Amino acid sequence: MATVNLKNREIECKIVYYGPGRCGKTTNLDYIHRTFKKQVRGEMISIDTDGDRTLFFDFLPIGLGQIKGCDIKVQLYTVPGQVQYRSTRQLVLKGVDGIIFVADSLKVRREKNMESLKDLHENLKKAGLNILRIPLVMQYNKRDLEKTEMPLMSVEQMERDLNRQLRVPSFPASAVTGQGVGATLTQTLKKTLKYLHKEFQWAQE
Amino acid sequence: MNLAEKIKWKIEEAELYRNQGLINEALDIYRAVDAMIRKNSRIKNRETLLAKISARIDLLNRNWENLKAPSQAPEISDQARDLIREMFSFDDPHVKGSSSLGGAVSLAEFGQYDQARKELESLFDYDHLRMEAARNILQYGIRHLSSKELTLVYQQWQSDERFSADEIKRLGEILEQVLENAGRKANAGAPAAPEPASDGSEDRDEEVDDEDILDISTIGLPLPTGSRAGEKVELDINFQNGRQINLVLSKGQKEIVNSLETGGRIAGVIFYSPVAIFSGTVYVAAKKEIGSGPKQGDYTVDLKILHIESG
Repeated sequence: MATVNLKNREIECKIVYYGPGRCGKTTNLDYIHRTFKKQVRGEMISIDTDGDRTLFFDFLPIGLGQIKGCDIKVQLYTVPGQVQYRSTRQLVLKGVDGIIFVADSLKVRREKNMESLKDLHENLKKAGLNILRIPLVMQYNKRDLEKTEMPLMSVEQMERDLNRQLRVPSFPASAVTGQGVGATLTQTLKKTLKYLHKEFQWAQE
Repeated sequence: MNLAEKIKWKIEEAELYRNQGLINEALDIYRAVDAMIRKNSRIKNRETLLAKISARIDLLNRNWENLKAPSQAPEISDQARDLIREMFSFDDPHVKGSSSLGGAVSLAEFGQYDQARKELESLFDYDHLRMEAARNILQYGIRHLSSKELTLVYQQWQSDERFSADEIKRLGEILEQVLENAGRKANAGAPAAPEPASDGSEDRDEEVDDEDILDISTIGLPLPTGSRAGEKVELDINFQNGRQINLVLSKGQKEIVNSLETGGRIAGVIFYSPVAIFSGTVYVAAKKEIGSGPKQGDYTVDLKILHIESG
């Protein structure tokens, strides 16, 4: 849960990038770290394996400056995507305020996307949160591979698979080139701050 | 596309998956290419190609085995350790020293047991934190120490004057419980058991209420009869009302329709919903050819979900 200090007019919230292994969660954070230098408030910390897979999490603190009279700080996290790190994902999800679900556009990863979304649903439930209520945005990553003629799912197919029931905002993206990365994060932050305003009435008119 | 082009294309696809770190997917393609080449004796440089693909498969297999192997908690930087202490510590702000306890527990949660134990032991001087610190040393210790080592930890506390007789007695009970929960016996020198599976799921069937069924978009249906018996086909759902689902199959899918017998049960059906994949059994309630309208000549099939399997 976000730290909201109404006396000092400060809000610190937590956004988690979720999704199957190798879908590009860390690449999203890398891109933000490299590109949004003005907003980045500290070093990006990654705890990964030799094979470059996230083992615990990645962490990047950013600041949005003053919004409606409040200083907004955001902690960005990724979870390890591999199936066996379920308990770590549960830990990282603790206190989450908004989620970006990064789905892999490769056809061969269709089931992994669905399994990961199911895992998110269950882990949120365990944390007392509802996937239908928490600020959530979908990102359909690896769209740059469309140029390579590799078997990709269409965005429409991914919408049907993952977003038919949730009906949350979604963005085609390429974390490698940066396409859609900023838009996904901006939309998530908007949804999260709106949600937090409902809870805490922090915004000044 | 001729065979040589097809092989080249498949290898490019496999290499893309390998570059993406999708080892299993790359392996599947390489195995398919291997089978494709073996079937065709007239391919130029056949043996050289097979040797190259075999070497690639071996390499990917080794990578896959490494990936599956349980990873030890890594040595992490001081910066990462501080972050874990600070960000994952859900302590009680009203209890003095609670943040130190919470921080140490967070380290233990992330597998940094040795450091966590040091920090927990440093809290033994505080009366209100001592028992909680000791309990956490035992509870997280079971993942990293043998029964004998864990018992030794407890035995050292028995001679530590900071613990009262009551506290030692209570910690003895906690140790017994921790060992029992891990399927071990107190004082046994058995090697450390692996961490129990975290998801706690067990295979069991579930009765189905309409409310339990999620919005299903597609089903994977194993064909029960006919020349394609056993083959799994993916079919989009036309309409769903709770556990009643309706499919519309085109004229070209007549073979699938013929494979389904009204009144028959089909097990092992996969249901794809936007938030879950689950399997179960369906009952073929009805099937008929559409007699009029734009879909005239197509087929409609009604299925009823009888039960779902969890786990």
